[in-house]
Amino acid sequence: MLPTMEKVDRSKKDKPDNSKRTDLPNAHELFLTAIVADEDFETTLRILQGYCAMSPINVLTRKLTWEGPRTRTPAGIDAKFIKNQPPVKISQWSGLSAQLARQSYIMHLLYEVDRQSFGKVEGDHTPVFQGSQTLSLLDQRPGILRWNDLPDPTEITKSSNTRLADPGASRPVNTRLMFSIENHGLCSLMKMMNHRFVREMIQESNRYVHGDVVFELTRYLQFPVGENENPSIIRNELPNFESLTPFDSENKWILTAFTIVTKGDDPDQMKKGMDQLVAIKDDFEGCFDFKVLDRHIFDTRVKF
Amino acid sequence: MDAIPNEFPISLRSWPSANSNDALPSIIQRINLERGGFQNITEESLREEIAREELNNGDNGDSSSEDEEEPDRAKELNAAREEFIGQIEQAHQASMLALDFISLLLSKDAPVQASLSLSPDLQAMVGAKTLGADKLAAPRTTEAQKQDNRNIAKGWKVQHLNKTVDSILASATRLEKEIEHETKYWEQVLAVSEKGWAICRLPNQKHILGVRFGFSESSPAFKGRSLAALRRKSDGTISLDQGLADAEPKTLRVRIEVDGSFTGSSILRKAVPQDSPVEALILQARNTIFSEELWQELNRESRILEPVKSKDNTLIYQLTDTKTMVLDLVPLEEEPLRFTGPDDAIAEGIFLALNILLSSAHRLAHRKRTQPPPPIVLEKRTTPPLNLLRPFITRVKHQETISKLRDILRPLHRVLSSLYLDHPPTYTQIPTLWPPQPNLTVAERTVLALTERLEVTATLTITPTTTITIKAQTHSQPTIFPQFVLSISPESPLHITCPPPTRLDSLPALQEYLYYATSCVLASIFVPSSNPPLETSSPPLEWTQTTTPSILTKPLTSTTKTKQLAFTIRCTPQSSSKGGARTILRVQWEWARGDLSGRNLALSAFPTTGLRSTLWGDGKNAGVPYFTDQESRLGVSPFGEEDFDFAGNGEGKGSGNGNGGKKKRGLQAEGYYEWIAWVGEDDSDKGFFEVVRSLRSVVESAGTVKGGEK
Repeated sequence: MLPTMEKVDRSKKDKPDNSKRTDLPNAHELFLTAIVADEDFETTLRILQGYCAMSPINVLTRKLTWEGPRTRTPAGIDAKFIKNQPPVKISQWSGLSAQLARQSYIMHLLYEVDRQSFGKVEGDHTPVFQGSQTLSLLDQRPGILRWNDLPDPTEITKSSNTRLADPGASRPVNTRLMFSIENHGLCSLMKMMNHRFVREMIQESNRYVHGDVVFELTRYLQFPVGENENPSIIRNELPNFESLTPFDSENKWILTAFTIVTKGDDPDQMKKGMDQLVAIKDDFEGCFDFKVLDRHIFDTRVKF
Repeated sequence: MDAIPNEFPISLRSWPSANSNDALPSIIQRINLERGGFQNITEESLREEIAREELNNGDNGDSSSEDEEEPDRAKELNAAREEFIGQIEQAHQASMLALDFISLLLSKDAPVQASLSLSPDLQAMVGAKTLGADKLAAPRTTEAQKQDNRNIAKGWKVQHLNKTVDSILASATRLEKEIEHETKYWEQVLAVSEKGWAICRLPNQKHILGVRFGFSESSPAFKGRSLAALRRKSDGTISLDQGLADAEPKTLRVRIEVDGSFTGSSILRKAVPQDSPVEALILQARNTIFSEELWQELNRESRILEPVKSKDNTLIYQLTDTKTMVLDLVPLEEEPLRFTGPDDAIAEGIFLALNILLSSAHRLAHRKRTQPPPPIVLEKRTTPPLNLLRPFITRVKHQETISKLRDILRPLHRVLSSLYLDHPPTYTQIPTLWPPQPNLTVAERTVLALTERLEVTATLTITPTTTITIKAQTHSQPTIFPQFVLSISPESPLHITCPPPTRLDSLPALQEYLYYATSCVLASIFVPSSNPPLETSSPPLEWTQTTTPSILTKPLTSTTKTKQLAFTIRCTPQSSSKGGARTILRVQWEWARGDLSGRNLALSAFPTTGLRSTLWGDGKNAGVPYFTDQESRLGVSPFGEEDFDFAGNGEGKGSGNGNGGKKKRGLQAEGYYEWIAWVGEDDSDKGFFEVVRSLRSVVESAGTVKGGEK
């Protein structure tokens, strides 16, 4: 109806609608990011270990990127599917469906793996096609569907965001609405919603917990080139861990400090989370440079 | 908005009471607040203040005079400053004049040098080389005086040189000593660090090292006290300085009390003397803070745990009927009083258990803290008290339940075995082992296995069709309570006659049900299987069950009388029976009274011949005549033959109380038989077993008519 309207404006226009729906889950992620060079990796681990008084938890995750349909009128999630879910999850799925109905997004499926699964041959050798019944062996495992919205603006703009506790100031942290739902059969669900599998990466991260804040020192690894015949097939076997290459050419690590707030529209809760993150930023002053990044870096909307 | 200036000190605390026994820390705190630290205070300034205060009190002492004093002091200062500057100016002037004079004087003989220091004004005014000086008379100093002067000068030089040398030597020695001390200090610090203690800088005094001896999972109050400074003493050795914290070594003491006197105590370690190596002191400090935290958590927990009482700074819990556990925190002494008693092992065991449970609680807290946290909510989450006494008491209660259950089931099994049934009964009691959780260490798994989901399964097979399974569980949340889950094998007649309640909450209730159910099962052995009865007009000549499943009846056609057979199991309590609690199975047969019996109750009296079997005895006598102690005291004796009228007149001398004692009325062909088992007996008594009758023979003989009957 309004093809010439700027996408950014459209998001601004749509946002007030969403913030008025108080019945849907409204969890926000507040986060700050810092970059760590590869040669500082060991030192960073030690510093964080001292700060958080715990050893790092090493987590390897298969991160599958799925792109939504290239249409301006996407459908949400099938209502029948939502009804069949256990009651505790229904509100989460409904909330996600509402978001997916306004706009097409890029989402991630996360499957945790352990080091031993790399280089191991799975039992079933038959290749799976996109048209077959079981899209992937991953369907049989529990995975996490992760959807992030475009982060809220951090500078003061004319159309001020009513969610800020103090509209006069700028946000000291990045904040974004998010949904994180654990389920089986997620790959088939994505296919059902007309989402296309784009690529898979391995996320290697070291996790620390400090109060309500989680530190994650992450880097992305990609699969060796040429081995994968058809990039749109989800692989069942993982190659040797040593054959993976870092996604970033300089093998930098990303240090994220994040916390999740239950109600994004409750200014007190948001302030509680923000205060913790700002305190961490001050504590690490001179050591890690925790920054508020431009929100468009994290833009997950499908553009066409 | 300048309603309140920034430096205005606001304190929301009430005035401290004028108590002269104020603790040092609070006084120090007040001084810090008032004066910002001890650095600017000297004795003189304090004396001045006191003097000034007295002066002010002498004036009029209200606050306005203070205000006036302020500007006065400022004016005073200014005046003094002006004076000071004036005097300096004067001195400067005087010295400049003197310089000019000398320069002018010298300008005659050393004009270049003099012109350097001569002020240009004077030069312009008077001109150089305009003043001269000459010697008019020779100096009066003699050669001796000059020599004296020279000597004096030399002497001073030598003296000062010596002094310099001495001071250099002294500082060299001092430096050497310092280095020695420093080396010693660092050696000791390294030794401490190599033992595994964490050394770090003190947060407020960055040039002093400290050692962290606390635990990372303690509550915040204890974490604040877990740092001690390592200071260097004057002789170079290291000393542990815990600052304002109470450094007295303490430990938890567990004592067992029986009837008001202590019969056992946990071992109290000796306090480490102050001059021992610093690692020993650090270890002692760590043990002390652990004990203090343990004590605090135990107290916190006792407030929500009902069976544990707090009294006079001790915690009291009733372990068994006779023993009480008493906990308190005591300081360690260098020469402790040794206390030994029979229950020392129990006390020491409890002490170790509580320590282990605190470590386990710390580990649990660590696991919880390192998991990704839940999303933020506004409500503050208070930590609930740690579970220390709760798992311990649960375990104690569970063991009690196990042994009491065994004391019920074992004698019951023995009684059932002595019945010589066709299929011997079996009994087992097995604790349930849950599969271990994979992510935990062996220590955690052991603690969990000892304290969580405690369950024991007892199986009693009475007949091939009836197996009773009892799952005895002891739960710890929300309170500590036992629970018994019963299940019966599916083909058992009990499902119809005496279905079990699914859950029982107490051992006596379980016991009652077991006894009743067993008697029903035994009764049902003699009831023929429920085939459709033959169509006969007369009732069958077999035992049939009545509405009370443990009672059977059998009609005896010859006399149209019905015989009634009752099975009961009871247990005599420990206190009233000799040799311990007894489980007794009694089979009693008698004529059915009332409508069930025949029309004609021409029954004749008959001496009772109930024989009692004993499984304990010398085996010579097959039985003893039955009388309870009470009856023999009251003078009951069996009827002799002469008491009865065998002619069947229905009369007997029994109605008359010729002997003066009560007569036991009995009817012919009535009586009972009992099988007994004691708690605590075991199979080693087999040698003295005597022959008891089997159940079948007793029931058969009960169901037949004795000779002499019509």
